[in-house]
Amino acid sequence: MIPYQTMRSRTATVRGAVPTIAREEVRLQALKRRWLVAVAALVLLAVLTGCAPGGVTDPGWTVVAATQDHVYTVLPTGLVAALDAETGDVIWQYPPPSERSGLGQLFSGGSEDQATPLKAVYGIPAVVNDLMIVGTYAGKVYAFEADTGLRRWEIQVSDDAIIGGVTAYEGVLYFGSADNRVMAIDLLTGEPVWPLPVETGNRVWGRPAVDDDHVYVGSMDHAVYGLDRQAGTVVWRTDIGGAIPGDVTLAEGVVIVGCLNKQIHAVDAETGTELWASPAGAWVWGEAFVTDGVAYVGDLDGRLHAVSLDDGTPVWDRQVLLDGTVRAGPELYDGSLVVGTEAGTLYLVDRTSGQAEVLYEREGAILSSPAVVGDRIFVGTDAGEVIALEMTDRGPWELWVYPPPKE
Amino acid sequence: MTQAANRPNVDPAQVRKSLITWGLIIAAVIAVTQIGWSNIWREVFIRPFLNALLFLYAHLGESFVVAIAVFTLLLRFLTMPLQVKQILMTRRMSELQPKLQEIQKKYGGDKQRLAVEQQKLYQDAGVNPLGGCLPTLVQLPIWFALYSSIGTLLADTPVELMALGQRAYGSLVRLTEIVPLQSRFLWLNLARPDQSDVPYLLPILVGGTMWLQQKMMTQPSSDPQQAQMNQTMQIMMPVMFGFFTLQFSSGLAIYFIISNSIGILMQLLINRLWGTPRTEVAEA
Repeated sequence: MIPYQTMRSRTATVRGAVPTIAREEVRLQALKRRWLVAVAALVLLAVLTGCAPGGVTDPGWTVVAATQDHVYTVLPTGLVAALDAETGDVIWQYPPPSERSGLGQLFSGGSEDQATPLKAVYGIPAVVNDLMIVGTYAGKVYAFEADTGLRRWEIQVSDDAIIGGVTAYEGVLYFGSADNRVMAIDLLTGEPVWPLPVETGNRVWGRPAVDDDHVYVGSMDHAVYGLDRQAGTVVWRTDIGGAIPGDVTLAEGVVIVGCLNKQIHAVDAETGTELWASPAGAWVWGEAFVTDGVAYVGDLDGRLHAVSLDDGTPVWDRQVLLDGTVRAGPELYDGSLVVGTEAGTLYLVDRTSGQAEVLYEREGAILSSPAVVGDRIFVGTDAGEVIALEMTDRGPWELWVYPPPKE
Repeated sequence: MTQAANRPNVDPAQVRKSLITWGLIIAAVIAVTQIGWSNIWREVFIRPFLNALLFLYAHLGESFVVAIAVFTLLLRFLTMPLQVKQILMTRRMSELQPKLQEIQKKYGGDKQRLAVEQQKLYQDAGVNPLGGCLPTLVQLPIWFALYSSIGTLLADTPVELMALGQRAYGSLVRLTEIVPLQSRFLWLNLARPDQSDVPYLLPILVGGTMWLQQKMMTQPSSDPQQAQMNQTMQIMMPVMFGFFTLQFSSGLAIYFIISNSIGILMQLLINRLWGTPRTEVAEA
């Protein structure tokens, strides 16, 4: 190999002997072209990879919780909003409009006190004691005053994501995190209640169910856990043979669990003994809705199942197949089930017969459970919209959409 | 008879080639319009990559790093003809430098003639000056597909886990037993960029191995501007990829490190087999 310096001096001699103007032009053009190609390739790479610091590749779901007067939501943009349930008017937003517009937000530097949009929320907010509580992918739990939107506290509870929602019970918040832990913190102060978080063998993505004595939670380590609510220790652990990504449901002393082993499981809440497993045919992720001794739960192939709480046998004599993945659990409206699909369709399903009718269709997947208050149904789509429907004698009436569609 | 005599000479092989080319183009256009780019991209690249990695993971001790390493080896093996061709092409281009300089000396004032003579030289030597870019272009969709596949497989978010359920070939592996995939390796969460106390270790390893590989592959050029550009690219590309590593999932960084290391070994092997290239520089 010729040393670079030597090569350069030799070629300098060569160049000196050659007519150069045209050749230089050709070279410069070629050089320019190569640089353009290189820069274009790198820009393309940057764009396609999203250049997302922190690695989050999707922005979360539109989640909705409702009370008689207010609707609380977190949009995929990270915007938290409280809306008037009747009109859809904004009562408060976080970050407030004054803090998220213009270049100020861009160059704010993200200090502690600066109001910044939340990072990817998947769990339904808990509204309790005049507080709205929400956990984020960034491992933070926020408490906002439900009436004013004032941020009461914000705590970094984990280095990893909070995917499921939080469950509030007697002044304590219970939740799991993607660093395999289950935690309990004081609702008013955010201080830890248990001496140490409970460690499981894998990520905890689901929201726990809680009663006086126990906290029940599913883990991706294929097990359901029963924890002592006061001490924060494991009372029982039951392996059900598949990862549990969603919320567990507690009803009549039974914990109902949807599982990625394509089964619905029932576990005795007191002892952890598995009572039955009912085949679903596809991944079961959503929370079960239990009423009158029947558990209703959807699967990712778009089927809705109704199984007896006693022995897991199917209640309907038909297969109820909807138009897309059912990720979230159903809710009850006037004796029927309201359930949304990834295809953006909201169904009303008769609890007795399993007869499904389309209630509403909109662009954007419905991946979190709707909220039902009286005659109103509120649902969020991954297009970043919240839709309020009023159920009337003539069918569903679109009350409002937030954010309002642009004219 | 007169008509036949006036008919231009048509090479049947050429006609066949044109027909095949146009047929392929039309088929591609129809496929794209009917199926859609995103579906083609998903079915042709993402799902096969994802399922290959899933298969390797399931059968190689459920270690994602081992799966990536074996997958990289397989990819390198499959694209080896292209890589060898690139290396040989670069060598030949390097060997042509003295003749190119002579042509430039001779026809430097006449741009058109210069281009014609250069083209003739390339043709005679059986060299395509753009041929060296092909393996790099082939790498691009591989990177993008891997980026997407790693994110889906390690499923750091619910949406990615849903995508895994939808994209995995049901009969290939017992998905229920292996989901969620183990995303921890040493101190790394392979689904995310390295957020530990040593976040610059992976970028340095990616950049360092890339720099070494490029340095070994780049042939010396007698053209000072070309040499300068090579040297700039040798620095710029590793720096850029090092920067991207800060944003990538660390699983992809592991792929780059393994891939670069294999490239370095391959180059060492080729140098041993064919010898280190030498460039004769024309003296004035």
